Amino acid sequence: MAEVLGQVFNIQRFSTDDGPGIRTTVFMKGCPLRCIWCANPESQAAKPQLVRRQSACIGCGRCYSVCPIGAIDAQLALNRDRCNACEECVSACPSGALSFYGDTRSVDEVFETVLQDVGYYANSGGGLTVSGGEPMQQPDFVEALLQRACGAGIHTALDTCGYCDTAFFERVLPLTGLFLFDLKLIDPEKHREYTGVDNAIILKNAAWLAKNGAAMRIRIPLIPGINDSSENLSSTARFIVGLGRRLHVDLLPYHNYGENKYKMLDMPYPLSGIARSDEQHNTRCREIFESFGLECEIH
Amino acid sequence: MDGITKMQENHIDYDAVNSVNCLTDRVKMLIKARVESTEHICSERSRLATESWKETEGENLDIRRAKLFRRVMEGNPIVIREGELIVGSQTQYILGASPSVDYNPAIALENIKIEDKTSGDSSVHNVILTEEDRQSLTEDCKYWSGRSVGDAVLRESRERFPWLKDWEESGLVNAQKAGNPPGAKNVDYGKAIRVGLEGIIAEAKAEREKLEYAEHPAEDYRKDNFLKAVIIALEGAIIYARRYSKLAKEMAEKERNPIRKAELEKISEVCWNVPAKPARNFHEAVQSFWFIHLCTNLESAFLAEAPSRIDQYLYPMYKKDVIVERNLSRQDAAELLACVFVKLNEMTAVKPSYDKKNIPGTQLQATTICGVDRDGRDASNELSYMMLEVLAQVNMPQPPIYVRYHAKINREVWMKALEINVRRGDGNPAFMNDSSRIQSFLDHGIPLEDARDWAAIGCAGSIIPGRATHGGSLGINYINLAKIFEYVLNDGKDPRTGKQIGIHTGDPLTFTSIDQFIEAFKKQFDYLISIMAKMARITTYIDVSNYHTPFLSALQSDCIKKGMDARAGGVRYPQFLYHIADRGLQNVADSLAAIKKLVFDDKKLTMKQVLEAVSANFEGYEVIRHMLRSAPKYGNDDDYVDRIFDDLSLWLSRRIDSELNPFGGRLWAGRSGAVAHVTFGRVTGALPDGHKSGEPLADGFLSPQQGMDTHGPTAAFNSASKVMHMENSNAALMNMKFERKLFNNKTNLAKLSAMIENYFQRGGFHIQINILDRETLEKAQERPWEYTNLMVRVAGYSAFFVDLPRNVQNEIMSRTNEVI
Repeated sequence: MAEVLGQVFNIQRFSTDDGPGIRTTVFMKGCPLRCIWCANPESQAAKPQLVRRQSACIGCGRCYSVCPIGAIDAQLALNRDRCNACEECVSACPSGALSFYGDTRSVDEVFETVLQDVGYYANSGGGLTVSGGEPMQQPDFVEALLQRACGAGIHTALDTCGYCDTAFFERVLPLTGLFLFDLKLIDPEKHREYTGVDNAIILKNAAWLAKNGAAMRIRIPLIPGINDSSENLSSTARFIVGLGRRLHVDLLPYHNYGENKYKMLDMPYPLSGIARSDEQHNTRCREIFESFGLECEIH
Repeated sequence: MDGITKMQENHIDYDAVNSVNCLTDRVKMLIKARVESTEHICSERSRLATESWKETEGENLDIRRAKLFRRVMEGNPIVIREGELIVGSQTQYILGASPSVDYNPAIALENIKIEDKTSGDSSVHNVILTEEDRQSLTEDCKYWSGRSVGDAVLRESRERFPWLKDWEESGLVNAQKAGNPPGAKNVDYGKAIRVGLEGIIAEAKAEREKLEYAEHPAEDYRKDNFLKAVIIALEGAIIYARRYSKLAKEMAEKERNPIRKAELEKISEVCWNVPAKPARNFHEAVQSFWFIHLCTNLESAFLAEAPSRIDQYLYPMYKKDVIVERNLSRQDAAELLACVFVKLNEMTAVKPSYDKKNIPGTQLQATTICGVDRDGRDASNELSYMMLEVLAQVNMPQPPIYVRYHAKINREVWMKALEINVRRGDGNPAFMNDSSRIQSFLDHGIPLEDARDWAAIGCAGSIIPGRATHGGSLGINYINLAKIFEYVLNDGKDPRTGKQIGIHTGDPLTFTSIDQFIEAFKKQFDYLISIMAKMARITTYIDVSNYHTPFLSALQSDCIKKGMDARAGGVRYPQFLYHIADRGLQNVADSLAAIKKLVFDDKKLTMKQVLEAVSANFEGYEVIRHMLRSAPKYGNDDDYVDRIFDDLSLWLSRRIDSELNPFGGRLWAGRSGAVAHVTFGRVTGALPDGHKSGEPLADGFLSPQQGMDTHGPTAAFNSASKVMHMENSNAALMNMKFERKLFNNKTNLAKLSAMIENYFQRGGFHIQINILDRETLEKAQERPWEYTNLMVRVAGYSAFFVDLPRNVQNEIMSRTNEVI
């Protein structure tokens, strides 16, 4: 059988907020959604993207001279459309300023890294989390990776936006110890406006997983002025209650840590200047879910 | 049944301990007085010691040392300050010390000059020295110059090892103008508390009776003198305590406040009884501990006297008063502990400038809690738990507490230790691992029961307390591995001084593989260590043969039985008296990995380019420096470099272990703390790992280079625990920093616990977790007066941040937070 390869943009060890215990989070590249608050803009495109850390660049010009197809000009500006990800410039860069968001990796390679922290998982009740992007964009790779983890007795979690063919969930359900299922907006119009896609599939998949006994927690990013109205949160709570399971809700307040990555990718930051919500407001949001009898935690 | 036994044995009332408030008005007043005090250099002890020594000329060494000690006990100023419950002060000042001129007048002379402001190092903190004290000390120094042990060692070194000066100038070893008096001592505090000094005098007398002068008259004579000396010294300590008893009584008579009057009467009674007799209650046990600790310092003042397993030897009286008889409330017990914690912060020493720079602002009084008992059971008790709470409430740098972890440790005590660590944020308490420590001691022939009784000493080192002690640190014991790597790059020549210090190992331009570099490094070390070890044997032997400590020896097994001073080898495990500390291996391994990667594997650079860049300190070679810095670095769980680090670490410790120490047994590799990485960094030139001339080396023994561990803490822990780095070592120090918000709740604290426990299961030994943010430190640098209480741990100990020299402050700030 051919080796299964995946596009991975980061493997983060000692993750403490993506499921229980100490975890290693594997971030898969490519996402069908375009949430305007996205904190990982590098996760969106399926292909690798060349970036330069300006702070590390020493302006030596080697990248320009080695690029065989002129994707870097004399002013060292990057032309990503032209770039064919040959990585000549990255290996020529003496300061490590150039790198690619995204890397083609085999399951073996990724799993080797996952195995490095196996003792920390055992001691903390942690494990592997597959996140993204949307992991279900690369179901074969994710299924194979989860399979390996299960085989080694490592707890698994899958962080998903829920936008995929239900058949993919069917494949990973027996391999997934915990689904971290994102719900952003209940109103389909608004969902389309802010994420670029309709939410019908997402809500259907949430219901399917809940019905089929998946262990799951609902994750909601709290974006000021976009989805943190009591109206949206109440509808979300009602939807969750309607799933027939008392699912735990995690609220993830908005942060702008991703802003710099937009800059590096030459992408405009849609939420520029937006203030982070205060604790009081977050508490009020939590109370809405609690009023529906749901356990809720702010991260 | 088990539960009932457990209750009776080590019952802990967690809620009751958590609700104590040891910051009573009294304790607050004592803390304030200490924080606002200025350090003094005093002359009394020196004067008394000098007088006594003049009078006893011609007598036996042990007797002379005992009489000297007794004279200090009879004459050292005594003072009982407002509100004190635990009494006993080094000098008349809250913070003051008298230099051990009898050991080495050079330290006093150096300090006299510094305080004179005519010379000396302005980066070192000034202390007050009155004109009267200066004159007195100058007189004493005149007498001792040429007579002291320090002089004897120096004479010998100069004669036999004239090249030592070159070594020091090169930066290969720690350069000390003057040797320090024996530090990192400890005694059997428990025995003093249990049987009293009179009991030990009786023991010494009984031993004397056994001396028949028949078969081994010469040996019996030596023993006889030693035992006489022990008796004189112990009597001296009793006299000292009873002077306090009388002073308290006099003060009580004059006292109008009835509450304080009663306290003074109590103090008088306590000091009459202890340490002469066995402690009858908790208050007496604590006072007895303090007197013994203080007397050990007054016999031979320096630093790093280790209270050792305090939660064990104070527990019997705690249990009797608090748990069984219930005549002492937990609140009052906590207040007594707080009083003695403040006292530990009043301890100081007159240090040579080398130590002021390297181990500033602290006394390194390593205090150990938890661990297993001699039978292997969990030794955690309510006092361990209370110590942690008191440590958090008093919130001063001393004592540095080391929590001995093992699989059976009481979980609530363990989690409390983690919670306090995060609450204080300064790496105190730190954590040590029973299983790797005990295993390594067993491998070195220490019997199981004694191995289980180990305790921390100095900067995260370890020892068998009451049965072993450190000797002096005369001569040299730190060796700069990064410097040796410079020799490798220059065929044995030191680029700093231009002198050929190492041996010829060949022109590195001709090397065709990384193994040749490694072989050259081993050859250089092999050559240097055999010289260093021999020199250390000679100088240490001169030292311990001429400077005895009868008081300390009286409280160390098996000195009385052997009739031999502790330093001369009377202790049960004399192999701890001297060790050699190898430092900077992280830089060496990272340099080797960089050469391997860029020159041999990827062939992106030639060795010539690397050497040119290094000899130019990377000026004009920034691109090459960037390339070298991007090569694999230790601390990222990358076998490419970790393998080099691990193989060399084991080779070095085994090579050191193959040398004999002069007391029987083999040499230890000293892999504990202190900040030699700053001093060594200052004299180390540019290296192929990207290190620039003068920058600090990586700290401790196992901490990754500053800012180079980019794969998170689990990767750094894994790098540090692929092999057992403390196999032939006193320690294996590892420091990590985290943002506070990572561990801001109980769930996250459990993750911290899991991380440490996994490191320990992998064979790690020591971990110190600092919780700090750069912003706070920057503010503290700008406005030090607003941050007088800000503490940090620097490689194995706590100090007030504002007390640290600027370069050490900067170094702390440059370490990355583990998770950003």
